Amino acid sequence: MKKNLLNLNTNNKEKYLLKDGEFFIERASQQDFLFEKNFLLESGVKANYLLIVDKEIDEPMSRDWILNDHSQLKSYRLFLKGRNSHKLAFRHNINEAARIDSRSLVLAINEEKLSLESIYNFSGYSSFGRVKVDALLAGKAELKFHSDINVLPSAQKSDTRVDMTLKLENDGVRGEIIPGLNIAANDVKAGHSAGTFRLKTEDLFYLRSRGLNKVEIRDLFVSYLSKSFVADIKDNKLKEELIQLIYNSL
Amino acid sequence: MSRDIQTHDSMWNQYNQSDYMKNSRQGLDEELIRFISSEKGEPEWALEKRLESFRIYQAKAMPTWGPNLKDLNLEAITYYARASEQSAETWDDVPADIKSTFERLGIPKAEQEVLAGVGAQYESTVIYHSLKKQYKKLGVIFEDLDLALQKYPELVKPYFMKLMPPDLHKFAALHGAVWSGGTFLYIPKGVKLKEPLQAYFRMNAKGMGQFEHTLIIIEAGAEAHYIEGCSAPSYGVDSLHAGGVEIYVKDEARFRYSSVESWSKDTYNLNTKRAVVEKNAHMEWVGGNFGSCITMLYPCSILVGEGATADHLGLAFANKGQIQDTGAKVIHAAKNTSSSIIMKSISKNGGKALYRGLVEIKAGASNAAVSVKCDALLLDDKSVSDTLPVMKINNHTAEIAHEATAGKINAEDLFYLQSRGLKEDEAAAMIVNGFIEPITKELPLEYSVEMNRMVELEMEGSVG
Repeated sequence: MKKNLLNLNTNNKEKYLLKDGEFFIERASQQDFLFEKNFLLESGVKANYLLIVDKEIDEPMSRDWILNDHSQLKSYRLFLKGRNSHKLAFRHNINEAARIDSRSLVLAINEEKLSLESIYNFSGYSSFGRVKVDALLAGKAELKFHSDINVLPSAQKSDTRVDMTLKLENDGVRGEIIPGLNIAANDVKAGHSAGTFRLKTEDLFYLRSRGLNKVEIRDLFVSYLSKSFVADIKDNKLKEELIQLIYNSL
Repeated sequence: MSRDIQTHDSMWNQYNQSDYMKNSRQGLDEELIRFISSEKGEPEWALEKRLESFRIYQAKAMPTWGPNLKDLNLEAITYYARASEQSAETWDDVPADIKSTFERLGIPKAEQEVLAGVGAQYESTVIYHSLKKQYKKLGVIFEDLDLALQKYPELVKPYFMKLMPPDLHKFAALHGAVWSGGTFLYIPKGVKLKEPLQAYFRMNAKGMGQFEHTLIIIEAGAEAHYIEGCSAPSYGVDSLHAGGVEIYVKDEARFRYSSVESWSKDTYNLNTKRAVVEKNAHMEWVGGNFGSCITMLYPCSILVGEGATADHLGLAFANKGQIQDTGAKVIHAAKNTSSSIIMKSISKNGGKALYRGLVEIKAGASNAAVSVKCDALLLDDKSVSDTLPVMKINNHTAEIAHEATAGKINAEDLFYLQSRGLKEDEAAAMIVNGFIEPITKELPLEYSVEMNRMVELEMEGSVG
């Protein structure tokens, strides 16, 4: 098999300490993929993380994160396949002045059935979080995505936000999104948004007038979502491979 | 302190002697349900409905979500008490002590000046009901529901407890078993009421339960505005309000339901309100929740007709020891329907305000449009604000936008107002009044002023 970044078998420890500057990648299709795993970012560490769910997972799966003071995590989660009867859970504890930027992209265009839960507990003073979720559902796909931001009393001066966008391609798909916001500190900035994305009639007319059919329009949208998903990744080779992986999965 | 603020205080601090409670008892069993039904002279079907609800109530567990209700002792509640022998049509016929309570609340004065009709309930039964003659002539019915059940069975039976079936949840079942009093409002086809109607519900005695049922039918092309107010004095003993509201808004009709709930802070307010909205009809909910120790209230609009629309506007103020678990539910079940939800909450002194919402787009509901906006203001570091919006989308043409923010009073706004000569607490109260303005502006002036004053009272001592 051609060696590339996405095939790197990085680590199979249940508890993992990320090093400064590390980009940790894991794929559900890896042979030694663990269903439960804990990650720790020590104080001041800056790291990146990428999870690709490209295989059906029929067991409870969880990832628990601790971000110690002043650490920074850029987290990417890409969901391409799945009919999971169990929830895939992602829990994060974010301490003082720690920062998390989390992006999730769900592309479910056949008969995928995904149940995802993402919890962000901000406990540190001046902690920061941006959570973005984009999902495209087509065919008979079903998605339930619960993303909670919990701002604890100790998280004064924190700045947090979650944004969730859902695009449904056709009837027969089912989407359920819950962007929860639970705030127990008063001197904070906190917000969330959720909504559906739908092409305006004029935009659709324009694209059809340029000769694009329904599938090509969808691919155009997937292209936009993929590029937006990888936009902050600095490694160009990884970016290309990710975009290629997304296209191949379609 | 102004007269209006004294009126507000009296809602919670003043109560009448309640000798009639000697004839009542705590706890609930089938015997009591049969007694309630027989005292009201109900038809057999109504008793059967009560007994069926009681069976469901016994079988259903307490809710496993939301605020913890373990301290609510349902055995210690008095489920039925009659304070007056009959409903009066003039205030002169209302017993003096009960009349004085409603005078303190300003109800008879408001009736003369701005209302089309008034209903007043004291404990379990309606003690006063009246409707202006010009509306009676148009065929409008505004009655005590106990009475309407007997006078208009053909209008009541097809709708009663259909939108709020007893198996909806445990407290809907409890309501179905022991409901008493409430309002029946019927607006005939094409009739448009220019003045609002009001009902006021007052619990007076210690450890009381109130279970009024409001049934409203707005026929095609009709329009009306109905306002409900609620209050109870504080005893330090739990009381329970589990009212039920069912509203049917027919084709092309428009209806606004406003409520200002000011239960005392030892009341559990577990209310159910639902509306079904037909073709091109419009339903509007405007609500303010101030009192109670725990409120669980999520008005629901079910849009079943093409082009139906709904607006939900709500304000919750959670002060010390209070949990205001409120929200809105909108179910889009037809094409080209739209809804808008605007919720504001203020938490203070350790109070907890939650927005719990559901927007559901059914598979056949093409081109649904939904806008949800929730804003929370936290006035100190002990208070809590939670937002839990659930969106179930089963149609790809739906356009939904939800936006929520939370934070404290902006220091720059406070500084600016103080630089214009306002004291810190006056400035804070002004900012809070601005924050709730989208809700209060939808109420008639008198109620809007009252809601602002209630907020000002709740705000006392917030700053500094």
